[in-house]
Amino acid sequence: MTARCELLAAATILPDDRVRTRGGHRCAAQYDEDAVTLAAQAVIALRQDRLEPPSALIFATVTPPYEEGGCAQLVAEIAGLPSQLFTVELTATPRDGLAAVRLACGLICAGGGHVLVCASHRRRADGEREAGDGAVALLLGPPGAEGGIALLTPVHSHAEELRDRWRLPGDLAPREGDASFTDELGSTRVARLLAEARQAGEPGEEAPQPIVVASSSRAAGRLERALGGPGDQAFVRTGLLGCAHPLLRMLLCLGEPSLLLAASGGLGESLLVEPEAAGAALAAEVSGRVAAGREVDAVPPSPAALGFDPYASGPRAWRERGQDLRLEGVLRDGEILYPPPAGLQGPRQPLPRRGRVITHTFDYVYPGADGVQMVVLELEDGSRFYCQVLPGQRLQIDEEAQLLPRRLHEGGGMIQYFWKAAQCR
Amino acid sequence: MPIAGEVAIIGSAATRFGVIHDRGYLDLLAEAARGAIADAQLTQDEIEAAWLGTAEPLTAALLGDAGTAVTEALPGFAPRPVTRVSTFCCTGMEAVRAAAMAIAAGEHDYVLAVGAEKMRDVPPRGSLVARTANLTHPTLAKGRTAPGQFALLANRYMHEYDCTVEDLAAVAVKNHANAARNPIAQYSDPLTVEQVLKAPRVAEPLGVLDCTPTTDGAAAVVLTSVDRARASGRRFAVIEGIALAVVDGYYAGFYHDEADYLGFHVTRAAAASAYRQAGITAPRQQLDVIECHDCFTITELVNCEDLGLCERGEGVRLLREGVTSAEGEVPVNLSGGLQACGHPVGATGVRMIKEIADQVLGRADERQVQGARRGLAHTLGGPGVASCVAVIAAP
Repeated sequence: MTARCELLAAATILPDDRVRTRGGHRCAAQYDEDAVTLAAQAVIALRQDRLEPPSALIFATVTPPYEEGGCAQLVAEIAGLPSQLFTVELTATPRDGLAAVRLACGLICAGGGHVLVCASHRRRADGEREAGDGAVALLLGPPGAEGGIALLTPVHSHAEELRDRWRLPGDLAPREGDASFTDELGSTRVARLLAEARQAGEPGEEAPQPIVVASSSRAAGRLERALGGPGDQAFVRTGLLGCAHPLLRMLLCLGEPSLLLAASGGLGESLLVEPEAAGAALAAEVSGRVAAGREVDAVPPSPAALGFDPYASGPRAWRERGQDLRLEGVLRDGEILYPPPAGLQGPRQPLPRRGRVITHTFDYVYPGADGVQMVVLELEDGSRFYCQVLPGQRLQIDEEAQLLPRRLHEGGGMIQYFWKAAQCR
Repeated sequence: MPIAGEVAIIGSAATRFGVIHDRGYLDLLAEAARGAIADAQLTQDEIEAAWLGTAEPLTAALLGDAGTAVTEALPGFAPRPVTRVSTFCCTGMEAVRAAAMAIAAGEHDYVLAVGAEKMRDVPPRGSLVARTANLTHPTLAKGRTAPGQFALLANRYMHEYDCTVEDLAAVAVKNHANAARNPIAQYSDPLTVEQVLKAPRVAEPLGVLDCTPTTDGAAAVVLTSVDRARASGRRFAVIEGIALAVVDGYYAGFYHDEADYLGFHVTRAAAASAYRQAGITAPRQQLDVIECHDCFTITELVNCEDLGLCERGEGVRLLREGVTSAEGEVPVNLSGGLQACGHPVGATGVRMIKEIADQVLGRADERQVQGARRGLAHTLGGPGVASCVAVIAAP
């Protein structure tokens, strides 16, 4: 039986800031965002509370903030997913965005219920010339599930030892093979092989539009046009989004059937995408997000951390993961007490993520920053929340605000994630 | 027996407050303690126990993290008991309250309460700012500094009431002018509103001159029972009421629904308790002089309201009308307050007690309020999570 699945919901997170590049623009995240915060925001944006909780989370990124120790569980905590969850991370190549869908299909076919796939990319260095920052999350279910947007069918896979883009431990930017080698024999060739395999395997069938994502955007574009595809319109607005890029392109092409071909070095994956009626609307929505944003010269770099050596503790972080990551308080007499008072038993309830500013200050003496705005919010349930404001934004009293997950610092060698206030857009 | 009306202050002393590079923590502690004992006309041997208030030992290489600092500063005092107390900026006053309880309990005849802090062996940014930024909760309070915490009140207060940055500056101007008559104050030069407003920004809308400096200093008092003081024929002041209130949590205080960022309910709770002990029902009429915790200019305004000198939101009117000026109906912070005296955290509350005791004893020199019979000292700790209020009167 062919393992396939239904796309039930999708969300994209594309930072508003767009930095001009030689080929167009790229999405540029702030210094307090990473592959985890971007992916978590995408999962949250799926509005999973209206959907069946997933049984598995597959996280694909080639820029995990922790090289070892896992990141998917962080995404799950921040997104408020249940702890009875199978997680797996794919971190080898951008092709893994599509490999995640294949894996999800297998899990669903094996009776695994709904599966969340999220993929994200956060540039680590200017050496990632074509890359941008962003995330995509998909909720996948059994074929034929109600409310389906598209039927996804993994088609072919490919694996051979061939490297056109790789990193050794400690590398900030990827190393790249010779451009002519990459173009002629690298991932683009692998993508072509996948396309040919599909054509050979399904004679007589109307050919879906080919979508090619490979290590070189230029070479991939040439192949896609040669195969009759529409060309990568997203790249010039977002940059290549690593593992998220094949998924972003899939969403943009939901107006008609497509054959998605993703290759990185000698690794390749192809996916047949057969949209339902709702596909075109979703494609239009995602297209709008790709086109949105504002051009900026650059995003502010991470401020110098002089004199900043914050306390951290692994046991504390574990004990308080509910309050810090899930923003959970204890429900008592209809009121959410946050942070949860010690020893108080009761059902855990997440705080609302929106509110309005009660008061604020811009603090110039907090070490390691050029100043940080602190705010107190009155959340939608009347409770108070005290936190930093996103870099580059200023909130005023009575202004509406939302809470977004961000990384605060790396005290004790551990990344501390918490929530910051942001303008509602 | 209760503290109220039964415990007497019979001696007090304070070091100069300021950046004192040539004196160490123990030097300052010893000077204040010996001065208070001498002022009480006692010898060290007659002091039976001591309470030490030091809030931040880590700014002085852990000196003051235990009561042994007192026995080190006062050779021969050991093995008598010394207890260190620490309650944020209420630390010094809490040391006095703890010592007073021992007298009230009849455990000791004469006790010493001393507060000391050495904050300027490191630069100001390396002092409380760095400690707060680095050592507070890794997420819940990250971004917090002391000025930033009180600036939240300033912005909300100005949003809610008829108050401007010029009004805030006027608090600093008033208290710096008062400090010109206080020989131990860290700053004694007068300020103008323009100078305050042009000072470098710290946490909007507060600038450097809206903020208390970080300071070295120590202060001490000697306590006994009122009966013993009266029998000895010494001059003394009476603690008519003293109370500490705290909120249910430190970081949690940021998230409390009842926090309106217009004042501190913890001060209102402490004042209510102290007033009940002292029989005060109309503070503005019954108090002749006040030392309150003006760590930032906004704090004095809300303190005046929380201490019941006026209705909430009317603190600015009190200031504008001169009610709290040196010549006003209820002078506030004649010492120069934390704004100009400086704020060696553990010492401040003890200094305030000494200042009010001196006022009701008629020995406040150029700062003396004529006919002062009853005064109040108030400290506010942490981000508004603890408050101590003491009512002190002539016998």
